[in-house]
Amino acid sequence: MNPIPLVAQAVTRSFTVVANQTNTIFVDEHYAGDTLIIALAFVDEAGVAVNISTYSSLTAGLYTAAGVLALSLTAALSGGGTGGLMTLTAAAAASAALDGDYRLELQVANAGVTVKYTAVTGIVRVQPTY
Amino acid sequence: MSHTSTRLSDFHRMVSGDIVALQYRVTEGISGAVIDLSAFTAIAIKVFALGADGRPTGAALITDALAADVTLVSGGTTGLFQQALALADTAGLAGSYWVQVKLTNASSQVRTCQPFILIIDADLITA
Repeated sequence: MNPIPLVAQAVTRSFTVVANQTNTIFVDEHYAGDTLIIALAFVDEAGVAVNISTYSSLTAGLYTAAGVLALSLTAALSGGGTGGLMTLTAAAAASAALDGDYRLELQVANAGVTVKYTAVTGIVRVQPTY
Repeated sequence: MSHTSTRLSDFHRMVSGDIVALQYRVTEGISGAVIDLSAFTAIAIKVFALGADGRPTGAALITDALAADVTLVSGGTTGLFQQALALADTAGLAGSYWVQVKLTNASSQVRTCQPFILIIDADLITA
């Protein structure tokens, strides 16, 4: 008997986003309860990595269509942010109760709030598990 | 980057009550590369009946896990593992069933594979 083919989506989904703009991303086929890491690489219009180490306030979450927070994501700079890298993480089991499409939003700001913008919006599509 | 949608286009068949080892090979969704399972700490397989809406219904009819009836093939380095089914596991089953496979790696990261439908044909030779 030939092996039954199984496909597993990556834990880490990587996106390049332009700094100081609102970027839209789509994460499909996240299974409820799975680990999810959204890796963001901030670049400028020319595609050059942007130093985001001054981003001290990072807030990310998944919201229902009605705007109710369904799951807070842990946002963190990678390597201090000097290379423009940030991750948004949902730990295993955190999304266990989710089912359907959720609105993703990431808001960033610096310490003095002289920089504050919504860096990412989008959709995370969660497939139920049983 | 894009990801494929969930699909249930893969169907696999067996005959009820057979003592068989279903073998699986797991690959990455984007690259198609096999996943090295050798350091994975958990593989959980659950088989559910299908409800009228085509979704699983009720408690799992079969539950198997690594170190029980699930074993890595050749150490799992080529993404292969198998599930040993005993006679009693499927003796009372016939029809289409939803199979869910969940993997946990050494970093406790959990990944659920795309589900598939297992078709179990009722055996004709029962005595």
